[in-house]
Amino acid sequence: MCVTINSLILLNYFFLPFNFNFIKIVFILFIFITIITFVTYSFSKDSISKIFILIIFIVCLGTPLNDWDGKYIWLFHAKRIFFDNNLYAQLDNYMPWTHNDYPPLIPSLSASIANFFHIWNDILPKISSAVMLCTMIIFINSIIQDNLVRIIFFSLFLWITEKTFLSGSVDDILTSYTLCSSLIMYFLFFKEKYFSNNKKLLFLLFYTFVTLTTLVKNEGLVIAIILFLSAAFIKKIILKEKINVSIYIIFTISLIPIFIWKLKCYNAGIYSDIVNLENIKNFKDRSLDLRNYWNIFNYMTLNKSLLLPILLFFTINFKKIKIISTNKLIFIKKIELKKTIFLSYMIFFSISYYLIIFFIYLSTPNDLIWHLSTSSYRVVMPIGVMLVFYSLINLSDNKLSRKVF
Amino acid sequence: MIAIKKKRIFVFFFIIFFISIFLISKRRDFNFYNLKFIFDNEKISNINNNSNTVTKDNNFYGINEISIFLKKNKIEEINFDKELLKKKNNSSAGSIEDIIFFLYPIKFNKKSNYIISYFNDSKYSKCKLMIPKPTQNVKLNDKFLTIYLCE
Repeated sequence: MCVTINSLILLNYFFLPFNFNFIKIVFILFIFITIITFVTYSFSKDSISKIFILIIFIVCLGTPLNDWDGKYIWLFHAKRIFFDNNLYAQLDNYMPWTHNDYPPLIPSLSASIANFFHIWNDILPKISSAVMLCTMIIFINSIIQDNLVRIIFFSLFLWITEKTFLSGSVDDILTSYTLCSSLIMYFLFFKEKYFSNNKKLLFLLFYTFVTLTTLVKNEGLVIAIILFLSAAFIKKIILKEKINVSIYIIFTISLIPIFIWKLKCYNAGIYSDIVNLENIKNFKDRSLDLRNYWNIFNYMTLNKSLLLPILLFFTINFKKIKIISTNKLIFIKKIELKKTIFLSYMIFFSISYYLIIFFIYLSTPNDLIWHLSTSSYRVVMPIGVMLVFYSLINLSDNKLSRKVF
Repeated sequence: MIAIKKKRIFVFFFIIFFISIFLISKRRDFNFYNLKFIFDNEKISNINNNSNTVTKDNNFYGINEISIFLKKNKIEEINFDKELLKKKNNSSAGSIEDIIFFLYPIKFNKKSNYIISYFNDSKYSKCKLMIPKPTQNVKLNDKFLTIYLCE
């Protein structure tokens, strides 16, 4: 189901430039049918995830768009695609402060949903957020077997993503896709033998999740690359094992859509306002003042998106962290590392991502405090949710999850 | 015993979850639409002039009617008054983006003759929105909304 929804979202995105109205309606119809089938088919079986899906749909449809990003970036881009009937509508750089360089995956889905209902309003296209979150819920549902752990995880997920989930912003979607992509990469790199019967399915999941992660937001490309490099680093340099060539090939193919989009932006003269040539100069100016370091650390770490997950993570995984810290990560013994492989992978990703964001804030062309206060709690959410997931998966009684993680 | 404990924790988390969802949805420390600063809640009377009718819609503070008016007159691009453009970066007057968002596919273009203007007397208590044009003018309630027809 997860693969089906992901594939339909991707197909909708790929077919949108061709202006086949009929196909757009068919894709959206199939997405709805898949979700309705999942929710209604033997409701009592995985009732927790199904209730969560219903709650997400109700909340999405029952709340107004209030966030600047949600309304003036994502919904405005969707409105443009809907009215202009063109996926590349934002390439004319109309209203440049609405970040026209952002990938149009979610706006394209929102526009197709509006097209499906044959009317534009501000609430219906928000279903796209719920649809994309569904894939995460279905995927995590298949990994976490314990009902209690499931409910704690989904509750904490909503608690962490809170305002972005309600406001139509896409950071919650990026967070969920980061978690799913990291899990898929972990399975592919380190636990391939457990999935030998479903290898093709695993590769398809890998392709769809990585492609969608890169197309959700600009940060998605950075996240996908860091996830891949972290896994490759542990596998090749620390474990000294060979990596399957097909993983490289599929990863490269999955990056093609975002590079096509970036190339189109470059040709249209649209550039990111955060990452540009001014960064080095800003970095030089700010790096000498220690107060900037404290401010960035303060805003990025001492918020509920990261502080609670860190506390939860250290409380539950104290023993495993002790193994890593006493053995100095890189010189760790192979047997001990194999026990804590997911932990090492996650720590590698979290630290790398955190440092990259730290650098971006240090070199931002905007006012530092303003930029931190408006976005820092959102960009660290992928790290927070990954820490929560890892902490909770250890609580699970299930044998498979004990073996795999 | 373990099953009962699990059930209790399950119920506890479910209650916590619903309470948190309720609290989150109640927490609207933001304005639904910044447009209320522009249109306020004053009445715009229906005045028919030169076959252009503008009526007030309470929910959207009149923006729907402006949109209908523009579409009726086949106006594809609009401009904003300098005073309004100056206020663009002021968060309390983020209204320019609201207008751009609502009026799309009618686009904002600095070269357009149709200008949406915005005045405020003392702390947004009274604001006006108008589309001025030099020759004829249609006045829709002097107090509030003024639309001028262009050549």
